[in-house]
Amino acid sequence: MLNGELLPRGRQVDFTQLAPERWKPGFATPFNQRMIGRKVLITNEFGDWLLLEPEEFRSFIEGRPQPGEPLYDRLRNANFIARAVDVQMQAERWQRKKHYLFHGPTLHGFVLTQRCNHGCQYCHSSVVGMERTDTDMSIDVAERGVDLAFQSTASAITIEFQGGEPTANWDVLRHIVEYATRKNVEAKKILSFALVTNLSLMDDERLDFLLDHRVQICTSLDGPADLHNRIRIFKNGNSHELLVRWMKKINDRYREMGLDTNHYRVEALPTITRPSLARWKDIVDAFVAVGCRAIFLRKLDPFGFAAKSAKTLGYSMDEYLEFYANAVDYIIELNRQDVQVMERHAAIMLNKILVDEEPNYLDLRTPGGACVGQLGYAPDGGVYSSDEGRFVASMGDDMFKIGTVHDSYQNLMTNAATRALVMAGLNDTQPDCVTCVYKPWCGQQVEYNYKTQGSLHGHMRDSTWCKKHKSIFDYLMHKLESADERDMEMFRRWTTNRTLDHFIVQ
Amino acid sequence: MMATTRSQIETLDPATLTLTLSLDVGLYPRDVLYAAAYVFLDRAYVLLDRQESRFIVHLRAKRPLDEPTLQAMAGEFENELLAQALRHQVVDANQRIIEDVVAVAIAGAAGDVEGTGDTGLEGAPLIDPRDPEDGFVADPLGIARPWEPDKQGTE
Repeated sequence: MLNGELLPRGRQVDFTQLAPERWKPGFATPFNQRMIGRKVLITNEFGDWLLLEPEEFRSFIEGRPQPGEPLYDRLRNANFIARAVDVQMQAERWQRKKHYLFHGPTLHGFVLTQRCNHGCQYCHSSVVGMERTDTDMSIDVAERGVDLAFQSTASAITIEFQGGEPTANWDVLRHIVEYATRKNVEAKKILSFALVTNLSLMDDERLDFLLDHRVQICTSLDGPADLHNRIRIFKNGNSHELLVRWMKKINDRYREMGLDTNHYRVEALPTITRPSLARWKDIVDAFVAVGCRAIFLRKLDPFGFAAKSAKTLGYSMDEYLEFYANAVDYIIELNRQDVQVMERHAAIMLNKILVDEEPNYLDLRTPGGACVGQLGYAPDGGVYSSDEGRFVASMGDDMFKIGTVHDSYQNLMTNAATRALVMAGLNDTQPDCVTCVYKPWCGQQVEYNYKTQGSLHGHMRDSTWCKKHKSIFDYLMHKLESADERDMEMFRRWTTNRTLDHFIVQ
Repeated sequence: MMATTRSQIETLDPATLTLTLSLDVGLYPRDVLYAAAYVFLDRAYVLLDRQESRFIVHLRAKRPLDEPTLQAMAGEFENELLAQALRHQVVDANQRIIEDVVAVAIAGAAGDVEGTGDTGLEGAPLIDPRDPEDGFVADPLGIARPWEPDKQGTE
């Protein structure tokens, strides 16, 4: 029975049974360890990992494995034996995985307006009524923002339209797409656009424009109709019905365009609220029913309206983690019945664990994505460290404002605020992170630390950010520890990254 | 000689939720003690002290705990000391491998100056103190300014 099953947790290795006088610390490369079931998980800075039997772990820390023995070979192949590490090869690997250190921000989020026609109970975007056109981004601010985005040293940039409901400021959205596309004729970047919309202001003409200009469309779906409509309040109609109708229409258009609909679909994201917790099965089923292949089970965040409505919609991290385990257990069951659907946190983490890839997911990298991975552009021209930095600003605190669209790119990237945010977002400066077995794959968000714990660095020992990610890593490691070949094939399938070339603007 | 590596319970009082441990200062580097103590910050208020040749660790639980749980916490502290001690030793012995890998990777990404093998980075300061545009020197946010009145004239 899945419902009520608790997330399996890792635990500390029992060192009191290991004799320190026998340790041979010179044998090993620096590593961290954690019990997963009855095995010992070890990881190193390169991102290698092994699950060892307790006796194998004892042999490892006592430096006993000899060349030619299976354990020695496993340890050597995973770079746990100090004298056997090929520095040049590992340097190339490090460089490949840390590619994001060598260029500027790739994600540029433009808040086109704060207006919205929905009154979602958790919305963190500080939305205002549809009459408040004074909160729209102007053409001038939009162009200056695009100019800044193109100054990023990244060869690939994504311009993401956010709100409020960004399509409420359609003329500026349209102008940005056309302006950036023209600009890219000379810049020759790998340019893409993404639109985060509730689809309620969509019409055929707008859809034609978005499809013609290769704008990827992403929407919000909170589950079955009753749950979705209860949270995402829409005075002008049935939000769920409207959403599902447009999702189908857009997916049909992709098919008519000859795109592979296994990969080209409207992306939908749920936000998990208290009423969602018992509905994990319904939510997964609702996503499968509308043709989604991926579900990102995001916890309600601590910003904006979400913070204000925490009493009615909020829940503890333990409650979320139980929900998560139930939902992903169910997703795994569906996969065993040949229904192809995956959970995004799991897919991102498995990419790092199984495929040795760095997907540059901004919340799980070090340094975090603030400023050097993404920038957020507010309607008034303010430039923020990220979406979340802007959400903090909407609560009356400009801590994460690093400048305006009138500043130079160089100033934005090198000023004191940016440096402080980047340095605070390093795992290597966090006492708990440096000794965490999940360090090679994890990361943090300075805005979350600041909002929940009052400092950029936070305090990982009792941070809910840490608890969430460590627990999901634990959950996945337990799954990998007990996976049969069929399950491993499923997990590998979740890690398959396909470049959605169609959405790259030529 | 396992007994000499163990911490020792000096006091344990479920009524006040307190636990006092002592350990030989010669057995654990101070960094190891700090690292082990850090792991308990979510569960207890921690005070570290020293009396002659022993470190004294005072723990006061943040939530009500019974005697067996306080006893278990002492055992966990000892376990954490050992885990941190092993890590400390391994890092001491082989951290340079990680540093070598990162140095080679960054030099490779920066590029080779005219095929000489010189990356142009060696000796170059990350922050140039003579450059007035450099944020650390300009200190526009006043981070380096002393906040204590008696030190404000010393910057």
